[in-house]
Amino acid sequence: MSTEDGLRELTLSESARQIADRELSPVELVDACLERIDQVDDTVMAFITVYADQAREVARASEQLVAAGHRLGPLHGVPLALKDNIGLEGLRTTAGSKVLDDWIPDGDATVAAKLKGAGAIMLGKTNMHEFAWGGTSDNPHHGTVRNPWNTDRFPAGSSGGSGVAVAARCCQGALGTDTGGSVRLPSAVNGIVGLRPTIGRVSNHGVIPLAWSMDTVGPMTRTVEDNARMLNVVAGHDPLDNGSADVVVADYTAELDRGVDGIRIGVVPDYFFHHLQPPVRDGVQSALRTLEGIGAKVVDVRMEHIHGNISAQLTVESAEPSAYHQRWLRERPDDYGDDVRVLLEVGEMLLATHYIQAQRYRHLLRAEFLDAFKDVDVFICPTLPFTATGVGDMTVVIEDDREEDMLSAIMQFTGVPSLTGLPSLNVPCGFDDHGLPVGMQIIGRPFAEATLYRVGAAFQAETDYHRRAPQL
Amino acid sequence: MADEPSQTVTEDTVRALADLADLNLADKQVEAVRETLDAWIPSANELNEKMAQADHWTVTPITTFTHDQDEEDTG
Repeated sequence: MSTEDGLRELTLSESARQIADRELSPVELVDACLERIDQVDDTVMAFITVYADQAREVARASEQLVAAGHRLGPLHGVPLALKDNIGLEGLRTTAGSKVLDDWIPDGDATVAAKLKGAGAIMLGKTNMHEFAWGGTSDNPHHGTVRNPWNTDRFPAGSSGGSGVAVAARCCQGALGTDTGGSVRLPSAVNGIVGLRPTIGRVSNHGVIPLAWSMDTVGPMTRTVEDNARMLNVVAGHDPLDNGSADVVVADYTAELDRGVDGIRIGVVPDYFFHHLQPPVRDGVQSALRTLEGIGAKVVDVRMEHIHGNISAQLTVESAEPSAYHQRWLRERPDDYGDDVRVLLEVGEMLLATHYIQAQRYRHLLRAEFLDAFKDVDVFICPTLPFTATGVGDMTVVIEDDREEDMLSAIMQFTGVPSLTGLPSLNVPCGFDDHGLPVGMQIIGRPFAEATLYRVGAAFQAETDYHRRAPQL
Repeated sequence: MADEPSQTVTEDTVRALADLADLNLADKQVEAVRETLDAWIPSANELNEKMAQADHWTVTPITTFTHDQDEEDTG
């Protein structure tokens, strides 16, 4: 293994510790990441913009600060990437679109400012499904993002570039955004950890919206510990975002070693384990047995109202973007990719009653989950019912050789936390026969991210899925 | 000859909805929009029916009224 390979294998947490202890140079670490981007990005197309010169300059300043005994914060000198719908002052932010091809924000998104304030170094902006409205990251303007485990397969989306950049060791962590599953889905199919926080836990200020009532930013990393460290930095109330929750921020690393003894895990057999590719079912059921083996208790739960969530998700996720894009869709419709244009047009044609009933359904489903949380601490299910499908596929086969629409199929399980505002964490839990990752989704009570991390960390202490790297 | 699959949403419906929305929908878009709406509307109508049941009369929509900090009455 070369020195650069060795540096890239360091986790975010290991790098942060070694930089703080002056055992690791931020300059060498940034150079190793930039070299990796040079090696692989023509193939995987994970980045829209790379700030090589700026990142090196900041890394040199980071190194000088450490040498002088100063450390900006817990991510000092750590190279990260941001999804390209998260604004950075003075730097192009496209949201993966042609519509915003030359847009330069006049301020940092709150999450970007927090990461910079904690000492992180921004390597670049990652590729994504156009305006985050889709699950494939097949971008007609900035290239098709490809899965590093098999470049003929898709990386899911919409934060596909962030997922690939982390999995392919181009950076040590990234931010994505999640509306219907856009952090968790690419985390699952690329074999990394991704968190959708409780709605309002992380500021959306300076982030280009998809659907206001469901959008949230979330960290994407290789390990649960890394993810908790990033959430520690980006979580918190923001007066610039009127959807931001004024709730105390925990130290999300505090309970990582606590184990799962006594934790009650809810499963919903007739929904979450009903319609799956066999390797996904096997992977998640094996994970449940692993957690039972270290003290967790698995409890069957019946959820009367869970059916209907996909329709509600599609309705809300269509109507709200169509309102945001209304003017551009009339003034420059040809600047949108074909798939996103159709979805935006469809969103204009749903009835107001469809939207309102979907919003009422969200209360019903949330109330049912909150009631169920009296008897369980978390729910566990697959993150999506299939492993990475082919690049360009618009349909997917889950079972019985039956082709299903990609959009409806991919958000079958991630839509539940999105609609209810509950936090959920993807953790890698296996591989299929083709070497493609399987992910499980851990869903928790509002603002119980620490419990999700506790369960995820206990699982990673027992397994090595998160240590495996794609051979790219 | 096999029966044509029934359509909830027709191209005429799509054009009428586009007119109502004051959306100049290109001809090449009509079929793709129709196909998607045709796949989604039956489920959306099922959800309408569920939520219109008397059991759920008291359920309100998740639309929140947010208050900016500068709205506070300091007078």
